Amino acid sequence: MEHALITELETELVQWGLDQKSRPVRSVYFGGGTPSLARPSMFKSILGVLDRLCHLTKNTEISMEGNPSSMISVKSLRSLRGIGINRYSLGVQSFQNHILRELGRDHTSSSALRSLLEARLVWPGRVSMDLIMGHAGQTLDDWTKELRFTMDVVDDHISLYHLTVEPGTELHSTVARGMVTLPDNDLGTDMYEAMIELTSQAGFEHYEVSNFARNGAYSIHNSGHWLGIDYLGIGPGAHGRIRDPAGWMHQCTELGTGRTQAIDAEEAKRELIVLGMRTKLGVELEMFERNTGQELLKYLDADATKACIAAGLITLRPLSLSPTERGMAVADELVARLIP
Amino acid sequence: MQHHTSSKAEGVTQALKADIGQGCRIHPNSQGVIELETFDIGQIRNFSIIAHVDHGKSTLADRLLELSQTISKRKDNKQVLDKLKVERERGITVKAQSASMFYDYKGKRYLLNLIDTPGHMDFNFEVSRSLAACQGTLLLVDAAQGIQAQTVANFYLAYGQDIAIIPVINKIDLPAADPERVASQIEVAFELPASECLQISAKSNLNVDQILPTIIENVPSPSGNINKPFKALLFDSWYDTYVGVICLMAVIDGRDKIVSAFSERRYEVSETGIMYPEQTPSSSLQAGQVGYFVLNMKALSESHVGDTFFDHKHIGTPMPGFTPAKPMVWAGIFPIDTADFEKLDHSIAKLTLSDSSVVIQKETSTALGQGWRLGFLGTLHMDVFRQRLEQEYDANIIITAPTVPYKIDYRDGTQKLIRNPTEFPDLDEVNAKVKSVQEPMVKSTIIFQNDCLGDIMVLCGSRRGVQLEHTYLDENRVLLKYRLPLAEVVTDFHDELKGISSGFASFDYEEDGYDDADLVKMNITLNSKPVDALSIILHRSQAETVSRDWVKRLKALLSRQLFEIVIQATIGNKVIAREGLSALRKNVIAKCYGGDVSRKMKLLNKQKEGKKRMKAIGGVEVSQEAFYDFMSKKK
Repeated sequence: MEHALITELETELVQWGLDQKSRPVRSVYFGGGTPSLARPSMFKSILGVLDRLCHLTKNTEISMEGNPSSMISVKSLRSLRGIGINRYSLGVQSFQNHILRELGRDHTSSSALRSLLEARLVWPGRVSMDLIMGHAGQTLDDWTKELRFTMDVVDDHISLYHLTVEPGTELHSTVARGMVTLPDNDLGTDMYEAMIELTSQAGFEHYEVSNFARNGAYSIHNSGHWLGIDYLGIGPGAHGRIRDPAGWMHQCTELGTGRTQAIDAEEAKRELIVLGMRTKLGVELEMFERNTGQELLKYLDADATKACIAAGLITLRPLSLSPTERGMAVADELVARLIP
Repeated sequence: MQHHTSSKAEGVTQALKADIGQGCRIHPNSQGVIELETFDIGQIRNFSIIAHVDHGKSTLADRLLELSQTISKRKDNKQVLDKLKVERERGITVKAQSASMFYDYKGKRYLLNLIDTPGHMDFNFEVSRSLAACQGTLLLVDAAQGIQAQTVANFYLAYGQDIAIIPVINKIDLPAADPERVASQIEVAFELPASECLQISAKSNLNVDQILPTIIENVPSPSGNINKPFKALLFDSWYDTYVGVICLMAVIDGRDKIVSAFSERRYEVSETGIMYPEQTPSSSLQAGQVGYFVLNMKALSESHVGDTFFDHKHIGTPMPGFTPAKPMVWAGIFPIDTADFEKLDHSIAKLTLSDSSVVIQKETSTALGQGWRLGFLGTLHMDVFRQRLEQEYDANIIITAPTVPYKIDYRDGTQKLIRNPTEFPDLDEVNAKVKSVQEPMVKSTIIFQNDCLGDIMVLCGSRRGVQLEHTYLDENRVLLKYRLPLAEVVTDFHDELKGISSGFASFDYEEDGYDDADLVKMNITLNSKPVDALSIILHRSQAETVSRDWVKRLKALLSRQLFEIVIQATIGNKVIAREGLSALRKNVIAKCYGGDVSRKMKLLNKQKEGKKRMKAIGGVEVSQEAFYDFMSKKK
């Protein structure tokens, strides 16, 4: 595995011409699955390759996704910090055991809480966690109670997601058969609004649909993605597409790379708007033009843009076109109108 | 002429048959035609069968065709006369047809022409023109259901034509049959002696053999003269891809092959024949006979039903003829997918080739795009047309609420006929210039079980009806006659009637002039922009109820959007109903990282695709499907 990853990384960096010291790496993210179960030496090797071929600075954000169920000692966390990991993200999902069971997680609320507090000791101010709302039978009161508790223990970054029922999952089939009822759109909206209010009272800034930060602790990695900054996905789960890890490892060691993905110009414009309208910053006018060769305001549907500004859903600022809080809540509908 | 008799039947049966008559299959001669010259006019009988829907007319016709050996006796002889699929599905006959039979009776050979009539009120016009070609008719009544509304309507049409009426009670072998009760209903309603009713079962062939002899005995032969110049009445026509228009005519006088039309156009006869039951060429068609003519006529619009054809050298007085079919129900038709316009245009053109009673105009709606405004004889006619478009041409269409033709009398003496609510004058114009607004009225007949009398009277009252007659056909069955505005009849009246009576009430109507009425145009607006396709003309007294219902139903069909939607019903500048649909609060997918993005983009493309099929009215996006749902579910 380690060998396959390193081979793919080297090949991709060279192929895309990224092996230049002049272009330092902004962020590295070890995500998906349970990377905290891997040996620290593997991360060390990968970071070593990156530093050798590109350049890692002391500002490079190097995140790792942690699993609240794995019993990692504070000592192990410190050794991860020692090899360069400087941000830690915990998939807490819920502080309620019955919900965790429903979600099929193997951790408990107490192990999640302990993992969170220990991570905060190692990376103060640089720990993120996530929480999911909109479970079957959940009331607005349940959710605000859980949020209030979370606000007491959270570090400076939190991702709050509305439960998405994915086709093919067990939850999907029980919902489809009418065995469980999920909160309807009105209740879901009430929960979303409660989440904005409670995080804001705790000093958080709602900087993306599902992401909140205080003291400027934005996720540099995800922001880069939303801002249209180039990124490279390495590994079998990087896009959740590869279902045959053994085949992938074989392909990587033989050919050097598992896949390449490039998007066309029109798709690139749409993607910048789709992602931008999900963020408080919005779409930066200068960045859009630089990336696509077209002025944002000339690209968008003019009537729809005017109507949405008049309705208080978006704001035109000197440097960007940004959604308001209300606009961000209807971003999917908004972009379908704005994009011609 | 060859005489072919059937293979010999046995002993007693054969003797009995010989007494009452026997069918006879005639074969074409070596030129492939049937020779009809030798038929004396005294040995011709032209008759029809009139009946309420499902009283067994088509089955009886099949039996008579079998009995006369016009068709062979097979299990699948199902309703030979009903050629169209929709007709078969709905158990109704839309177009007139004819079938010729040969029958030996008391030593003479008879030519019997069955002229089929449509079995529904929308086609009364066609019933009367079919009856005009007959000298007699079988009035067929179901032994269990008894007299129904169309029985009454058809009886009066036949009575008005002064032709022989033979009452026949069918389905007497049904468990619920009560032929004696039905015979007495016939006596009460039509003054036809109960003792003269034939009692049969067409399905099980019971007593059917009495029918043709009774026709020969009781129906007079046609009164034409073979030696007079040619004269014929056109009573139906249809389009054939190979030979053009085929005209079904009853020849009154003469025997000439060359005819010229009353319309002063001359036509060369290229073929004559009888429907036996398929088109079978004949050597000629002469006085008293009924059959088809191929005249090299190119367009169906040249064949005017009720027209009289003459020998071109002897143009005489035309037959009384018929009033041409007037469309009484108008509706807009639009493709659900606007890209289907061309295809649908072609389909509608083809369909009207075989149904000249549909009147077509192009129409453009801001809400629904390009389409057509079509005039129909009635709502059933409209339904049949829609169904044929969908079944035979695979069309996906929206039909707007039907409008009846209103008349506007202006103070300056001019008159205007309104076929589309958008043509209706605005309130200001009505106040300033209009003397009166008139709506078409109908005289309706409703027959039902006594126990729903109250509910049906309430229904008729709520539809602005005035009672004309109230008769008990027997202790259980009631006949009501009401004068009603046609507009009330075309909007769900029949459905409600069926609902109240659990499907047992029968209903028929005929046109009955125009009456002044206090009518207004109601508009539906979305964020103050009118939706033209949803304008209707209605009586002022109903505006409030209808407007509340419409805005509520429209609200239920619209999805929340980025902005608040205000749905209003207005008359002139006055808002009479209002519903608001607040703006969408939340529509955003929670996660959007790496791999989620391509899914999000797919979703966006799907959304954009959907929006292409939306119409924006007052900034509100409305899908064609929403209009379709609104129009198709009236309640």
